[in-house]
Amino acid sequence: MTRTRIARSSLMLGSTAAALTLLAGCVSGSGSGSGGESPAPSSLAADQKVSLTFSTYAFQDATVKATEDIVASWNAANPNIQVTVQKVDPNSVHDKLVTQFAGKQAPDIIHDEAADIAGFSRQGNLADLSSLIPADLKQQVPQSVWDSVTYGGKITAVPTIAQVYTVFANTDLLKAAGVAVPTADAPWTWDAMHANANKLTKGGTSGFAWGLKSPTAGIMSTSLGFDGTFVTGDEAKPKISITDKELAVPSLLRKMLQDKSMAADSTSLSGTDTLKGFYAGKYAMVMAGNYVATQIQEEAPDGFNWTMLPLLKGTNQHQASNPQTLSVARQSKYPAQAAQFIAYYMQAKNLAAIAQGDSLIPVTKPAADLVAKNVGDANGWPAMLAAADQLVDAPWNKADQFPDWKENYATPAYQKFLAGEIDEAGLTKELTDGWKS
Amino acid sequence: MSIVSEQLSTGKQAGRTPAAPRRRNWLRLWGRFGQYVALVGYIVFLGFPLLWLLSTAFKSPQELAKLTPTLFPVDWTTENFRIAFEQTQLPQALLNSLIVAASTAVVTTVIAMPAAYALARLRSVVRTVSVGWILVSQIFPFILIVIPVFVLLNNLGLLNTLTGLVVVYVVWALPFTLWMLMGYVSAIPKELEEAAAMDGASKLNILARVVFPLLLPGIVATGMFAFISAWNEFFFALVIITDPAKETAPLLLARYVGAEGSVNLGPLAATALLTTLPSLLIFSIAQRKLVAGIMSGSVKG
Amino acid sequence: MQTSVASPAGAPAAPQPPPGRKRRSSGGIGGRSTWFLLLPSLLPVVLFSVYPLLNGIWLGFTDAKAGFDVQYRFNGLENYRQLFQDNLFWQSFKIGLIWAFSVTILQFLLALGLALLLNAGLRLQWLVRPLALVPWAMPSVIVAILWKLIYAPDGGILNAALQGLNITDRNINWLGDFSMALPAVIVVGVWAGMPQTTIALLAGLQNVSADLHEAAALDGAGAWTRFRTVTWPAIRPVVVAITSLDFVWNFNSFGLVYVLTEGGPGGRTMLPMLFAYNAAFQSGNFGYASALGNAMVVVVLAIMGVYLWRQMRQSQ
Repeated sequence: MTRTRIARSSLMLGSTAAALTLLAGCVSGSGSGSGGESPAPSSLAADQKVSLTFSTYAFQDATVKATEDIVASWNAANPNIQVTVQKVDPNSVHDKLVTQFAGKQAPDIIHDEAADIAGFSRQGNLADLSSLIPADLKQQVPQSVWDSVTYGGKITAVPTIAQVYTVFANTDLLKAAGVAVPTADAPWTWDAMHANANKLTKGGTSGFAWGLKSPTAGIMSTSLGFDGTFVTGDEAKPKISITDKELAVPSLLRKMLQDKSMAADSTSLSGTDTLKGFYAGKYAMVMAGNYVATQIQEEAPDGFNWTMLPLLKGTNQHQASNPQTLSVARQSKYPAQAAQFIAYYMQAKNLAAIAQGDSLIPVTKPAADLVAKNVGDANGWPAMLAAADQLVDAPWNKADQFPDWKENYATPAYQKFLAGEIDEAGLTKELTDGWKS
Repeated sequence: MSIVSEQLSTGKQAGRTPAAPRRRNWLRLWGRFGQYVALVGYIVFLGFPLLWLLSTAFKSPQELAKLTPTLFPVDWTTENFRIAFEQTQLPQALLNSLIVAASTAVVTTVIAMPAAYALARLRSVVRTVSVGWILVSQIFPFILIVIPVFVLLNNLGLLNTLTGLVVVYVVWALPFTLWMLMGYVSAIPKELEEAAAMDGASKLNILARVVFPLLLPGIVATGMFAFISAWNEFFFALVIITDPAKETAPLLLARYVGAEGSVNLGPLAATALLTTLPSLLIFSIAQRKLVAGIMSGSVKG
Repeated sequence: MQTSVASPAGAPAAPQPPPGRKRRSSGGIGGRSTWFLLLPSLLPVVLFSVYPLLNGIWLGFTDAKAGFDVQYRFNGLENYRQLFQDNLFWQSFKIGLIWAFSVTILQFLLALGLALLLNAGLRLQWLVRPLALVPWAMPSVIVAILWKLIYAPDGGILNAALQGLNITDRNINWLGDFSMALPAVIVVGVWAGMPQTTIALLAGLQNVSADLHEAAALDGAGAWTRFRTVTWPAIRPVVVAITSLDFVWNFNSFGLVYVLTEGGPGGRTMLPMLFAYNAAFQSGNFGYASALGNAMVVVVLAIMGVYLWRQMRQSQ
């Protein structure tokens, strides 16, 4: 999922820090030890105790609980490999990791997301897990999702749970307007969504709203449904290309803003701020990450009927694969043991509990099946769980300059475009020029 | 105490009014009226967010999700406080914050006091260098200092300790503490010291008996600065502390804020309220000390 | 309270030392004792502050970048050449100056008013004194979230209040509007910084001579004249200290604005520190970020220099 502060890859002040240590005239202390090529799985004496640190940003109560349960049951079963949890809030993961890597004090097992570890991977701070991932786990995750955590041929993370951007609909309002809820076999196209939003727009109700305060992640991800890949060529240093495919989603949004089928205010709200209006019937449909389902369940007024719709279709239903991930720090002394813990975390029962807490989609088939059994077919869940197959690698996440471009150029450009300050040509120019600079 | 000083001053004014012309009397009355209007304005501006926090802490998730907000909860609930107490290591975090902030305030003011006096009364290159360092250290983006500090603490084995945090905060608070104290020292007329010296008081005596009492409000104010900067600090605490048992309150609070701005609002508000009240209490006490000077002022007058 | 009443503030008639031991120096202090007074502060500074600070400044002249085993080297003024052409940075610099000046000036005026009121012996003190400290006592995490709630276009209390009072009839998108966002965050900045300025000034007011005030009043001086001739000169050093500090702090702050707007909409609230933070922690251009830091130091130092120099000249 895209976190406000985190959805940025890159950075490592490794060299800086190393030089600083020299400058300071101090010898690096103990701790996790310094890096080096990821060592072969250590051959430990049978009774040697290993302790691993595991930093996690789980924040929903149910997920925090699930994480603690997993660690507790692991520790009980593995007296020789003890895992201790470090907690960090989702908006600070990146900053903390940057500093910890620089100081060679990173935790052994790192919970992050694919877009964020791109930079850490490229800078060599994460261990290559290719040889440490069990074969059956390898098969349980779609290849396209593995692609999104493979950097320069190295798998530096195990994907866990993923999100998609989906439409949440107020089913009562849909019924009243005579709009049928689409099925997984016949999903709405973006244009159909637009037409239906028009039908739903009347009185104080806007047909559609999308909290696009941070517009870049959502727009780019859904653009993949029109085959808009934004960049081509080299993995780390690609060229940008903005065509009709990349402009399809923003242009449609602009049209919807103009004919008022999309609420103008919503473009400056954050992803979850649209929910109040959704409950109150001000918005008949809202686009959001499917994880907000947890929040809706918690706070929606009694008798509020809603569902998640199958993914909107452009030329296809693809969205960017940016799953949450578990990685092992390259400086860890016990990568093999850390990988063992990750494999345990990925077991269907465990991953299902994590996914349900966050209302996200487990990327392994067995865990998804388990969740499906647990949640039944309420609120459109089956369509969501099937969405794992639509996740494709987002090539821009691996580009060196993406974080900088996103923050300094793409985000302001999309904001200006949605506010009507610039047109398609202006948007194309700002996105393209920003990439080149 | 405020009431005492108020009576003193109003008493004085009452004694003078009969002699003053009627027009001036009216003017003064209007002036007072204006002062109260302004005061109410301040109360609203400063206090409203606190009121909103209070109201939020007693609302249910359903009520918080309403499109039309009400100033006070329709259905008061204490559920948020139950969650706040149940699910967090809040007391421990508050204690950690208190230890760190109080240590920072005490250490900083104690070591800064003599230095500030020396620098304020000195005109030499030492002063220029110090002022330069103070300003540069406050202007240079602290974010670019975090990593070298982290490495330094690591080498000294101070990572993940409250001591390490105090060390960082003291060094961080020192520049502005010195800066403010220098201002307060400069505001003390040199003549007072010179008069005492003429009377034969020793340097130490002058410092202890003349300068220190006059400096006290400034010291309290500066101590509060240092306290609050440590109490609220987030970034250094984030990178230095990894053990949940050593977390300070801001770290704990940050975890109520989830992804994409989604916030577990009710429990966050309840927790924030529980964090706000003790610090407000501490500050109010400190502030009494600070304005205790009013008392001596009116006694003097 | 007892103790402070007992201590005769400002009374020069402190207990006398043994007679006959007359000191030569009066106002100034000698070399050795100066170092003795400075030592306790100097030690932690040298140990923990000088090195990281100098290091940060030095990196601004290198090509230090993110990377595991990447070496960096001195590259002279290359970063600054690049910086001069970086329009985005200068744009954010302009925003930063508007932000820092507005917040500092408003903060000072409002805090001075409040400090004078608090010092004027009004009723309601019991309420206002603690309230003046609320922005401080409230954890910063919650400050931004609360104001976001207040400003929210959907279900925000400010819009509800304005509509209730019939001042507007539509929802204003305070933080999302291109022209409204910066003023809106400035208000929050002023609010958040009120306590430090108020407290500093209130402490300064404690040493304003009541005798002089009395005398001036008897001479028939009005409130404004008394403020100008008695109060202002007495608190002037404190005013200079706190306003300069506020300015530097405000220029340096970005956490609050980051949570409120993330620099948006369209970069309208992108403060320079936010820019430097992005360059360092996000893009990994550590050398360039430090160069930005150095540039800010130079400009802000120049502004401070002019301000402090003028204040010094006027006070002489």
